[in-house]
Amino acid sequence: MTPRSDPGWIAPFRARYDAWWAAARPLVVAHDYAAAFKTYPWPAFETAPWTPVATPVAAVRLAVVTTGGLYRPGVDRPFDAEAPEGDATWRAIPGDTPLGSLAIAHAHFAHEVAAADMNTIFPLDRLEELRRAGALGALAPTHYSTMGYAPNAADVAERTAPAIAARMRDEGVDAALVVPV
Amino acid sequence: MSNNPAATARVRAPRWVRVRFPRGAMFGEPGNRPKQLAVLRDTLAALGAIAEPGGSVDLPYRWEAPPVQWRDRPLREGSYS
Repeated sequence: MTPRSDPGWIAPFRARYDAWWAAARPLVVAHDYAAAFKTYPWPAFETAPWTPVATPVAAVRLAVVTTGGLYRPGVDRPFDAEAPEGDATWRAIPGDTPLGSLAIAHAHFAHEVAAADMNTIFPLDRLEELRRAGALGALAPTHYSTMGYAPNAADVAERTAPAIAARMRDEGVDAALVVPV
Repeated sequence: MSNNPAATARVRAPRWVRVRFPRGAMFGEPGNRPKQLAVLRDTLAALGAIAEPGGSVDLPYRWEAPPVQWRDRPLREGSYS
């Protein structure tokens, strides 16, 4: 038995989300996130979706998804870091992008650690070292960033995640490492 | 991976590892290459070892630097603590 993700939660979530957002918006605009999210309508699931790992880890092709709001200045549009309702778009980051060339558009975490060493939220340098050591098979040609402040989980589930997953399938990715920031 | 286990368990992630690092530092201190590699090695091992939906592994590494200040709170091992 390998439970799949059940999209049945999305329609009821949207109704609950809309009601929550109507009340939460003034609090978010005032940056009172603790009060706003005290009543957030968390989706509830009965099971975890599951895909068995069919490839030995040492042969896996891995992609990374960070929610750190990373983008390539001059190439990608920055995330809308200040939008009260967040930004559920995503950026594709080629695996040969120098980590030092990436910028952060995300207003909901302290940037100091990542600015000093981007491997703390997007560890492509370390993964390349592990690949060379034979600990994993390959790194995908493309990795991904979202901006972690995207409270409308239905938009993430219906638009963001499927688009990223489709590109991963096209590139033969076996597993994704999701790094929430 | 997660540094907020309550939230991750609630959304029934398929398989995950818990790290005890502050928000914005999911692989530990900046420049700590050995710790970053250790977290990744353990995470890859968990990918192969977790056999049940929703399974997780607690990684043993701890934050070994001053707390990260976020909205007037010192964070040491999670999104909010």
